[in-house]
Order: sequence, then C-alpha cells, then structure tokens
Amino acid sequence: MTLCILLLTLYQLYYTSSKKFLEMEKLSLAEKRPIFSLLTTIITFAAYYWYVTELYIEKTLTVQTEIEFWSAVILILIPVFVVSKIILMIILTIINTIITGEETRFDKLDEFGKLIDIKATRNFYHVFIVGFLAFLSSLAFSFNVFISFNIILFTILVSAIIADLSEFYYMRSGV
Amino acid sequence: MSKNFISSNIRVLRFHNNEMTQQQLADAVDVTRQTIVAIEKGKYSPSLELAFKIARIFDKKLEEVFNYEPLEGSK
Repeated sequence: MTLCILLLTLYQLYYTSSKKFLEMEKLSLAEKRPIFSLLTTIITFAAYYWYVTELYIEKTLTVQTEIEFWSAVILILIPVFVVSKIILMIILTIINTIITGEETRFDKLDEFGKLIDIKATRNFYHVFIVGFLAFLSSLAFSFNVFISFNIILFTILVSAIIADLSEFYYMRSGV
Repeated sequence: MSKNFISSNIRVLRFHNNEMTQQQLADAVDVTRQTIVAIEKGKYSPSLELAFKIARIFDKKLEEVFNYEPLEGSK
C-alpha cells in the first residue's frame, strides 16, 4: 500500500515536472529524451531499491539464500528497467502531442542519433566492466554478500546514468 | 573528440530558399532537427547519402553545399 502511494506520488511529480519541461523551447526533443531517460532510471531504481531493502530487512537469510535473493533482485531489475523505459516513451509522447499538437516520435533515430547511441552504449559498457571487476574482486576477497551484490546493483545504476549523460553530452557537443 | 573538417553553407542556402527552417529541412531529408543543427555548427559530418539528399533539396552540387578544409599537416 505504502509502495503504491509512493509510486503514485513519484509519477504525479514526474508528470507535472515533465509537462513543464517539455514546454521549454530551449532544448530540442532529441536533447530532452536522455534527460527524461535519466529521470526515469533514477526514479525506477530508487523505488525498486527501496522495495527490495524493505524485503531484505524483513527476511532472515543464510549465506546461500542471501545469494539467491540478490541474484533474483538483479535479474528482476532488468525487465523493470525495460518496462519503465517503455512507459516513459508512452507518457512523453502523449504529453508532447498534447502540448505541441503535432505527431511526436521520441524513439525515432536518424544516423546522428544512432552514432550517439552507439557511443553512449560504449561508455555504458566501459563503466559496467569496471563495476563488474569490482564485484568479482569483492567476491574474491570474501566481502559480505550484501556489499558484493550492492556493488553490481549500483554499477548498473551508474552505467545507465553515464549512458544517458553521454547521450545528452554528444547531442549538444557533436560527434 | 575528433575534429571535423567539413563545413557547410546550409544556413545561407536555407536563407536563400524562402527562409526554410531547420525543421523543414530536417523533415525533407528525414532526419531530426538536432542533426541539421549539428551539421550547421560543424559538429557532425553527415554520411554521403545525407549530404547528397541535402544538396538535392537546394538543387546544388555537393561541393557547393559542403567544404572539406583539413588543417595543415593532416591529410
């Protein structure tokens, strides 16, 4: 129940702020997309991590079950991110169509957009590899399971943030 | 970041073409406005296909729209 209220409040806040943001003339649609993607990533991760932490505190876990728990958390995070991005695109398209009265395609990528996408994905992998090595090192040095799996969770978050920021940077400064 | 040596006269050509907007040109060559902005500012070198499309819109030769000016010492 509390989670539902939190999510509703977050999305209400998200809706009003995105409406105001879309009305700004200074940024083009292509520049607004990574900013919204970044916001969605942070909001989704924050809500998901809060939910998972609540679950983790409630449960009494052995080392084996703790590994299973955190593995499941990471596996579920991926579809959660995918679904939230799809919802983001739908919301943005609706809001922007209402504001401008024109057909909007946030997912449309031309050659410039594709090149930027490739470079942003490259940056994502660079950061992810560093985080993954840190994760493996933490396992090798027998760190706490909680710490090890949190390293990989936050690696995913930071990598996603880097990808969105790179996209915004390349969109403004060129490639 | 690699330096782009390709500059363009798109801004001038748009002006002489009934003050065509960036969005109109973008729609005509099927790219986003951001791509036209990047090409005009010299921050992105378009593909040959896109360069030809743009030149065709203005009914000009490729060399009349785009210029290649490498720095001294670079080929």
